[in-house]
Amino acid sequence: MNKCNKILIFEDKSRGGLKLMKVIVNLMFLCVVIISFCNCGDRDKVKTIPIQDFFVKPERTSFKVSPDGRRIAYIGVEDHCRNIFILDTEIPDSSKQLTYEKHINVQYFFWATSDSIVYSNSHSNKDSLRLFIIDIHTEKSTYLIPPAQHELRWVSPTHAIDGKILAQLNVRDSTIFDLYRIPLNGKGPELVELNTQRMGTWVASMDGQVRLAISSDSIQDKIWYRDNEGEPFRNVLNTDFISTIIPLGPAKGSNSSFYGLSNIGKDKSGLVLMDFKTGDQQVLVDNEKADLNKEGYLFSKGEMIYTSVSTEDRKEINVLNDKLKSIYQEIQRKYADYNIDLIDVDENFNLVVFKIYTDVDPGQVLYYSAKSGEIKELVAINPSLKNIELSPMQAVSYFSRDGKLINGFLTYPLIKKDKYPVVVLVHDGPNSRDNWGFNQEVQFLANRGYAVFQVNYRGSTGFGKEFVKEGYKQWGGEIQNDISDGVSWLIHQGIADKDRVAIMGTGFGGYSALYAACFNPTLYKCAISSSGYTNLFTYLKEIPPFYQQYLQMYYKIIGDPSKESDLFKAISPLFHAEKIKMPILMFQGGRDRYNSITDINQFVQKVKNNGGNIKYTFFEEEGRRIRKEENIILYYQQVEDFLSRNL
Amino acid sequence: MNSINLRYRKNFGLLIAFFVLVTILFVASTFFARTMTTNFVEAEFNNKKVEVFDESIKPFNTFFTEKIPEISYFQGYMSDDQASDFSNTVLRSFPFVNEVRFFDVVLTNRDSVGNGVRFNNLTVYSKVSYLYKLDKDNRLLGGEQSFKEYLNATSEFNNMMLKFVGFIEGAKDSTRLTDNDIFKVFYALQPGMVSYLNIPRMSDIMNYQTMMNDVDLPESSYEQDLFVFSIDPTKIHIQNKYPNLYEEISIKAVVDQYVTNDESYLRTELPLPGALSDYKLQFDTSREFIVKDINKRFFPVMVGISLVYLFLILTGYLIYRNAAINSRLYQLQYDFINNLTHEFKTPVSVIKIAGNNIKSADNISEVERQMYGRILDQEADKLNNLMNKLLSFAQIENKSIKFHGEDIDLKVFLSQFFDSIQLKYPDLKLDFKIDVKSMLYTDPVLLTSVCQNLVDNAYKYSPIDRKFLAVTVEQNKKYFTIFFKDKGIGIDKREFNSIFKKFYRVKNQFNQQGSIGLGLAFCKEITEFMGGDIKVDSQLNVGTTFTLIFPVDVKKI
Repeated sequence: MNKCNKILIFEDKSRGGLKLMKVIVNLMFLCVVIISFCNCGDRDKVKTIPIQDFFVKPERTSFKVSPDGRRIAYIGVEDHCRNIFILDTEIPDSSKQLTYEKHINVQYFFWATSDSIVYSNSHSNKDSLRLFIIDIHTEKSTYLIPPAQHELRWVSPTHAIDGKILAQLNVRDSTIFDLYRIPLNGKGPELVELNTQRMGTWVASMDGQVRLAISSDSIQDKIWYRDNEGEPFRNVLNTDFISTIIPLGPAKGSNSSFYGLSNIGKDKSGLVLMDFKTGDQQVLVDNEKADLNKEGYLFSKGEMIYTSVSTEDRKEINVLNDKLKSIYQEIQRKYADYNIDLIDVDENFNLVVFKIYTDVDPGQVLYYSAKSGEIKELVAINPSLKNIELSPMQAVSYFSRDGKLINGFLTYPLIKKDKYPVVVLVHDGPNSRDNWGFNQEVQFLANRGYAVFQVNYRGSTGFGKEFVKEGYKQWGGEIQNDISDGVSWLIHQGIADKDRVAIMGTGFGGYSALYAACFNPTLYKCAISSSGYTNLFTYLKEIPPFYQQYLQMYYKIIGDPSKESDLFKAISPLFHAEKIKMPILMFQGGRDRYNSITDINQFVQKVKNNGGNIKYTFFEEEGRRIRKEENIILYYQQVEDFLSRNL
Repeated sequence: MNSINLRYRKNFGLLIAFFVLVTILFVASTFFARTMTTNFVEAEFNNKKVEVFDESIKPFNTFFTEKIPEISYFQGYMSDDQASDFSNTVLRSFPFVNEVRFFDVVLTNRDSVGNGVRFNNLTVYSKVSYLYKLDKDNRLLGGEQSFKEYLNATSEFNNMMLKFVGFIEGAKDSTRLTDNDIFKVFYALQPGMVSYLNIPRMSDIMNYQTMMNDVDLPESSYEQDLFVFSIDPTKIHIQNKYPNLYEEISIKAVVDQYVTNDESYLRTELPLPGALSDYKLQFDTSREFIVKDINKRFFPVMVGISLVYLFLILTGYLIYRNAAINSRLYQLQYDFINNLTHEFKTPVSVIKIAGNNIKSADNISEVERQMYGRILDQEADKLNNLMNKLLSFAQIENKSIKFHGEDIDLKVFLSQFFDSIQLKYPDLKLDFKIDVKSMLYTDPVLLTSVCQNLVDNAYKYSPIDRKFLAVTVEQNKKYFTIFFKDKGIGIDKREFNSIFKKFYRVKNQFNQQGSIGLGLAFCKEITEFMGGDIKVDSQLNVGTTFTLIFPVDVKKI
């Protein structure tokens, strides 16, 4: 009887289960139908690329050609640690891993000679100084100098002349860097001379003798020259911090001639050849549109092999050396649609390492071998985005309210619409700029359906010194107006949906976003700040104690907090947090030195108390820029979520 | 054995008992509610003080947690202008702040400075100090502190700096400023005094430490801002959220030396926190005051109880009334049976006499036979009529009759009906006027019986010399209307409603016999069953008009 009952009960249960199953199956079927129906409607939708695919770090970096033009050294990751590898282009089989670090990352390296490499490893930039020299054949690594707590700054050229490399060390006094020569045999640094005149920069001639030096009190730079080491320096030229000469290196065949970038007496910096003994100055290359980039000098040849300039659109490279020019043209023929940046070459152009890319292709690093005449790949920059359709970047320009021509870039999402939701991506700085090319952050936002607007507002570099100067003391002023006028222009052009504009940025960009949240509530819908400056009093306090002289420069660029505290109060978002009504997404790195956590907490609290919608994430281990991969992904996940909710 | 009394009974004793019980309950609950309310109010007096406290202390909390930290925003860059601005806002928006002292503190590794505290290489001194307060006319008075004023506050300055330097000394690179550190180092609370030093960034603190320990550093100096606020708790504005509970709330010193004579009825107190801790909030209420509040709260309770009481009384009354109606109905039915018996008895006894006469007669003449035949026939008709009436009324009551509707031409229908009436009542003067356009859809049998009843009544209740009946039929857009107007004895207006009730009879000489009080009740039921309506209008001794109304548009079944 009992058994019977049990069986009956079981049957009952199984029947119930069956019913449930049926319901579930029906529901699933319904879901499938709904999903397939949705898909039918969105067949022409662009595939959403996962966040991590945008922010892949390249496997190999820091390619450097050996002085003999045979090998290429680079940093790769082995055992979760950055190590040096060597590629032998002539005998590929002898390519190898050079260092075998398991715990401490190799931070940087350079070729000291064709057979040895100098490198440094450390956990962080606050770690003690550890410098090694390694023989590439025997793989034997020894200390170049004994480990120490002081700091070291290399002096160009960073390879050995007569078995010694020039460097500055602050052994004597942490605030003063004296000039040393460091022999490769590990016998320890030899003092060249005490830095009594507070020189900031030293420049060696072709023979390795230091004849040129620059001292600075931040407002005024003094250029000093001497005929020979041991003699006293003569002050040959004074410049201010706006009109400058940046020495690139010595010119072949003369001890007193140096190449440099100069904007003295003109707006845009051009290439000059200066003889400091005679005072002759010869202008070699000038560009009317933009400053020349600080690159293209090759010490081993003692000449400028190319110049480059980033105008409002693509980067233009003008190769000056004839041999390199023919190689460059060959590369150009092969990669006609690409931008080609030169990374490293040897003296004889046996090996040319270069990078190709476009705005929609993160590109590759390749090398050209003169011996074989072949081009081979070294690394693909972001292989996960290979063959995926990305959004092209358009150069745009418009006039700000005071008639100033402002350049920028606009990246449309791939799906065409009448009007786009726009994310204004404000670059950090302000003494920096946005360039044309592949930008992972921009591509991420465009892939999520937002038009991305980047502005080279006044104060951005590369457009001449006047343009930089116009940004002085315009934080929250004309700089902000340039950005806002850009948005208005986009709206008037019928590109931007006026109800769906977000502003986003890191550092100064974050400051601009928070400023907009306080004072432009109607133009923007929401704002994202990553370590944006909330309090300019705090920002200025960050100038280190022993560089008080630099403060003068900051006083000119931003303002003097003790004399112009009203201005500081007026333009610091912290003092206006109660005005914020728009949704805010905020990130802060615990090691960012330009913000104080107390300020940030006050700011967030104040916005919250006023009923503001603020989401705040604190990354204790990060600095101003987020480096850890998991944090980067978390950051962009939150950005994606925030924008989809609020824009 | 007592036989059970099956008669209908009324027991007033029961009603009175109910009434008394409910009243006692009412009085008891009123008393109880009063006591409860009193207890409740007194408990509230003790509990609600926290809310008053919170509300009153709010501005101080805002000052402490929101306004003071704003000093840190300036990162030590505060100038006398800024300090004056800041003090001005503080003094004006927080009346309990009496005075603001501002010290522009300099931390330096330079040697030769005047009044200051020196720790290794680090000298801390006040570059300049200001005192701000409002005068009687609420103007801001501000200026550098005199030496004497400075000396008054110098202990505050020294205390803060000692704490601060102690913290600098112990700080490490990895130290993070916790909330606890901040409160301990950068705030100082004393009764009547709040001091605050702007919170520098951790890197600044490390710089200070380097300056303190490293002899070789180039000369540099940093500024910090120290504020000392004098607080007067008596100027806190009390927010009496419960003016009904607390007659007077005052801020008194915690140590109250004077024993007051005017002991109030209820008193409670709460000590103030932090910088206000030498004062307390005292709540007083007099007896009259609290009674007012108790009464106010008691009133709705009282209304509630009274309503329940009234409701119970009303229920009692309704039960009583129901019993009274039932008793009257019982009486009516009793009358009805009496009447009915009477009605049946007369024809039965006539039939019996006629039967006896016929039985006992030796032979019956033709005249006699005719007479007896007529009598028997008449009386049997009477009995039949009575029984028909009873039967059809029962049917109507049970809703067991059916409606057999058909279209009737009222002209034809009524003229036939009047013909039969004339046969029945040859002495009735009949006058009719029919003005209809369309057919009436109804049950002819039911309509006939209604009309028959009305005509019977008209005949019956008219004196012999006034037997008139005028029938008028009219039709408008919506209704057919049939008037039966007689010149009979009429009906008293007061009885208009009653005549349509079952078993009701108007008492007069015309219905001494042969009426059971069902005729008009029957008519009303039937008419309404047919979808129509019946009305009466009458004047005593002049005549009565009955009106039948039927709608033109009837839903045909």
